[in-house]
Amino acid sequence: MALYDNKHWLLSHIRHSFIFSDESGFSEMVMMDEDLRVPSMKAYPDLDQDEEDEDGDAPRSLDVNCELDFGAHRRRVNTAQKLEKMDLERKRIAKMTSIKWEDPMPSVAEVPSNAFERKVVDNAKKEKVKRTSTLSAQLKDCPVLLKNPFFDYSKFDGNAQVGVPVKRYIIFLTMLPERERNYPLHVTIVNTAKVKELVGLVLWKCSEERNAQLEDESAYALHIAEDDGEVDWDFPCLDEKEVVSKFGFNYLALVQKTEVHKSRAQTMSMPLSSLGWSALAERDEKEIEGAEESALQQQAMKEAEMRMKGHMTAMEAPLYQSFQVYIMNRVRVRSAVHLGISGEKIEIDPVVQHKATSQLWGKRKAATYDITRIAACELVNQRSSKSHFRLVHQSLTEDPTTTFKTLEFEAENFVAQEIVQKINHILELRATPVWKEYLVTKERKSTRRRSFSFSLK
Amino acid sequence: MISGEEGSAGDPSETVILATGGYDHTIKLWQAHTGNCQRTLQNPESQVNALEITPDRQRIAAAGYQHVRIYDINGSINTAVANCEGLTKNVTSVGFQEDGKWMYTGGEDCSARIWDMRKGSMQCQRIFQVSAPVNCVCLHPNQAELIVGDQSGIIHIWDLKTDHNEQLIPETDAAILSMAVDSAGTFLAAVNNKGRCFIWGLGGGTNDEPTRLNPKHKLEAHKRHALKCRFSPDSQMLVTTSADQTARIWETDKFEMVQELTCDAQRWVWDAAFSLDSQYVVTASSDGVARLWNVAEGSIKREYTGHQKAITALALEDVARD
Repeated sequence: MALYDNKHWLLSHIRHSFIFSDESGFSEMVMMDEDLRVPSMKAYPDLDQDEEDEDGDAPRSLDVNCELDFGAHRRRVNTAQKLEKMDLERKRIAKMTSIKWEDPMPSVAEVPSNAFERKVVDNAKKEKVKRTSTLSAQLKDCPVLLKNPFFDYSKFDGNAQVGVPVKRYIIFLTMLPERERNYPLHVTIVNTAKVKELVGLVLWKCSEERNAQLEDESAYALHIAEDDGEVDWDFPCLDEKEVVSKFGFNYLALVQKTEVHKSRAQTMSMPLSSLGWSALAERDEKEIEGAEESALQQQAMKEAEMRMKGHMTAMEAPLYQSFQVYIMNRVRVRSAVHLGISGEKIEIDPVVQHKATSQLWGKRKAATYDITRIAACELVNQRSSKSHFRLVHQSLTEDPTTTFKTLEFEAENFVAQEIVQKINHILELRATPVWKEYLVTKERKSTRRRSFSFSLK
Repeated sequence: MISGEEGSAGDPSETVILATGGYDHTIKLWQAHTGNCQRTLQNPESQVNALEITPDRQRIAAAGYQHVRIYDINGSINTAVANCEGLTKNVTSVGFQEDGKWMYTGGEDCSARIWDMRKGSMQCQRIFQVSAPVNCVCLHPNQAELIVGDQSGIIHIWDLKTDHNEQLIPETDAAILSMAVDSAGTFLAAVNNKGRCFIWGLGGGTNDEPTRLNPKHKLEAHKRHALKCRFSPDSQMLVTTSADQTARIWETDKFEMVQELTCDAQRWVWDAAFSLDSQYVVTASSDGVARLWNVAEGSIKREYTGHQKAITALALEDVARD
């Protein structure tokens, strides 16, 4: 053993041997905290690249058989499968004659024209003779073919498909009389089918092949079974809505739904649904419950989404963003400006106008307002497409009584809303004294107004 | 397996053959009067564009992508027994000379070809090139003229003996999607992608005269693409199928509509065929279901379900009951 001189390996081996063979679990407890697993190569400097296991998790003990054997075993089976497939292909192609198109020889002159002799078509007769049809006769003989009620499920049969992944089951039919119960049904179903459809397919095959008296498919359920036909009652029945490919069981039993199913479903409906196993309650009850729950869940999700969206916008608020809006002059003339908003300041840059008139009236100076001077931003009015919003800022006077000046802007509805929202988010985040002061002033004003109105009464 | 062979290993010439094929890489053979699927033939890696049963009723040809595959109808091999290759692109139609001497195909490679079916013989091998993809080919009952319809809207009549060909254009730039000649050689019908159906009376065609076409009628058969047209065996009726989810039956005297075959589930109707006595029509639809309809009532009598995807071709060989 090349590894026996590697002290790291040996140490690991000893540890594992202790943990493995000590039935009292003491060794494990003692050694649990010391995690010697070192994923890097440096820990095992003596080991070759090939001998290193890919994941550090692999037990380094000779006693513990890891699943690598399993993989190797499967790999062999895979190759065998591939060889089989290739064999079948070869056989198939061998049986098939290949006719390759060959262009006709240019020597058309040699072609005996009797190959394409015209046939005389007797169209004078005009088929006055009434033709009889075997198909019609056969249809008459079996007039009303009692369509197998489970016929719709036959399309899930895996045998009818080619090249589709299928699952094979052996189904024990417990509802059949004693004698027939021992003979299970072999069913092949497409991977994408649901358990409900598997039930239907089983019932269809049953009715076709065994002429059994069967009820509606909702009266049956599938349970896991042993290979001798015994039903495993410990597990609840397979969820109807689950896709068949999820389950690995090969032996199943079809049983008739009983009161046990329904009562079990009712009592266990809450936790079951959280596990993913759906309730087996009375259909209506289940539907209502399910619908309610999903509605509540959806509601909760929507609320969470909204909250997240709100958070995002608030977080993005301090980021610089520029908008094109119109600033309203005192003379009610608007001029286009670029409104640059960031977490630090608000800038107003006039857009260069080429028209002489607007230059005359428009606000030409660029202005910058530090955020600490901004008191509020609110929507003033909203028309069909444009809205007005107001920016309130503290004027730069030495006056102890702070005065607030306003700037009015006009913009498209959604732009205005965005700007107002953005500035308000920034203000909330910064919580400047000016902002708070303005709020207080507003409160006072509103209370005064209220009291005034009261006194009027 | 859906109910296997019913043990009715009777004379192949006695059994009604109904076959459907489409996009799910299978061709299904049905017991027409019960609706049971008897066999499923494998057609890997290709859809089925057209199906045609050989005149001796032993085999069925399926035109697919870059090949035509031939299967044994009575037997247990579910894979093709012959594969005609050397073609490029989709083969859109296939048919046989009535004695089985040769097979004809038409395809998107802008050609119509004659394949000599006799072993070792190349006598009948022919090719006819046009300048647009060929959508449909049909053989005049005189077995000597091949009618080719292409994507650009031209109908070519190719005289196989003299190699001459005539052209006619019923409607410019309207792709011809299907054509049919009735078994008595009296009519030629063609449907195009605008939903129109053109009918000509056929004259001449005997001796060495090329067949003359006399325009007889123009039908606004459907509001959308018309996909297939076929005459009834007694030439009294014409069925047209369409993307408008219906199949319509017209009488061939004044070309008035006699029946409309439609139901909620039916999607595009790709193919249709009459029973020998013209009482029933089988349709193939892209909802994966083929249906047997009673023409007089317009009601569905049988449904053939089992295909996982659209059915785009069907072949029906009814047997006369003497």
